[in-house]
Amino acid sequence: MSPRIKLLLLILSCTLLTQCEKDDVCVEGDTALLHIAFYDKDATGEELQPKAVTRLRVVSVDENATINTFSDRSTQDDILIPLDSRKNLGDFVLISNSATEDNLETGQIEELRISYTPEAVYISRACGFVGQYADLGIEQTGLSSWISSIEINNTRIDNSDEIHVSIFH
Amino acid sequence: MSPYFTKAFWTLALCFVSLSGWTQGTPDSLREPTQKYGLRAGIELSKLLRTSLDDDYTGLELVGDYRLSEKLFLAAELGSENKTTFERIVDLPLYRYNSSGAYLKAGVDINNYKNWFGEQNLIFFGLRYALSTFKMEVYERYLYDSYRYYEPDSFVLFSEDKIEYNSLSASWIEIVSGFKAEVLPNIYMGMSARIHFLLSYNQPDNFDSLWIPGFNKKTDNSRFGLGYNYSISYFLPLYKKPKKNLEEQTSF
Repeated sequence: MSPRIKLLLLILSCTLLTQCEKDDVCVEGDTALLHIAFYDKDATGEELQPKAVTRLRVVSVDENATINTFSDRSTQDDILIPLDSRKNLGDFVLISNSATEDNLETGQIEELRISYTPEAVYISRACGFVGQYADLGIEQTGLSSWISSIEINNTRIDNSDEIHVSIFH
Repeated sequence: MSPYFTKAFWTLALCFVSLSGWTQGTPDSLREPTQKYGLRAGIELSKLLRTSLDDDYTGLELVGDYRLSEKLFLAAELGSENKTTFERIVDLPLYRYNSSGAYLKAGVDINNYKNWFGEQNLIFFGLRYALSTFKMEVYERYLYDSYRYYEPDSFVLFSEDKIEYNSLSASWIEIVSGFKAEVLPNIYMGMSARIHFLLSYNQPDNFDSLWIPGFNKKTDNSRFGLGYNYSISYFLPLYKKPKKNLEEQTSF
């Protein structure tokens, strides 16, 4: 066979082979989660002192279910909270030292209202769009319990790694 | 029918057709040491077939070439395509979009096939410069989410409102290789495979030119694309010219 015919066959077979596409897998992005870190309110000095919350339980009021990003009633010094992209606010209950006795919650209950503007941001062919959030706001809606103060570090949530909110207790 | 099967079927069909064409050297042709020059015009077949089989696709491509010399042909393709795609991960819908527009590819083909007398077949290599103007529309947008706390069995539908991106354009070059075989007097069937190299394209705000008419699928991290073309065309002979290397050829 002449080299030209070989090249022709090569190009034709390449075309046929590449028509079988790999399964597209999304690795480039994901819907962002609200990242909250807990700090010691009594720490002195410039540095923030992380302070874990024991037996923490976080419940979405609308869903009436605990959030699934960490194991329920475990000790955490930072947590990720999924936000509902179909709405622009969500009510959450954060319970410290959570336990149940005679069907009653015995932990300290703190109620938070989280407000935001959801956005669909295009990432790639395989991922399509992911949720990100602007205009983050947090309000303590119930009686103040175990949380001393809340600071918003960034009102834009475009990834889950950065700490968006600091809670002092 | 899967696109892969469709393409494989036409490849095989055209191989048989073209082989039978090449093996017919008619004795009459020995008395005609001239070659026909003229215009060949036709239609691309896979786009017609796909239009009839695939509800989410319509396409039409006209092909043509004009013989300039012994080996050199001016060649062009003019087409229009409209395709709607629903991207999913496994069964979960991600987003749906449409690309529609027209394109023109123009360039040259160089024939490398040494025809027997009377034969007018081509095995060619070619080059095209291609331009497409198109628009895109995005419809449903779901939010990819690995936790799926609010809807465990699907992604959250963020919006169904149509977003339009008009006046998009792209340009690319194509390296072509293929053949055209005379299956009936002046009727040609051809096939070509093409490697595309994207020169320029528009990046719509918060989306991408994922599918460009004439170019095909644009992959995320590469400027290369692939295409193919199956054509049936009619050759309109305009004049005849003697073959240049007549003495060499008559030694057969």
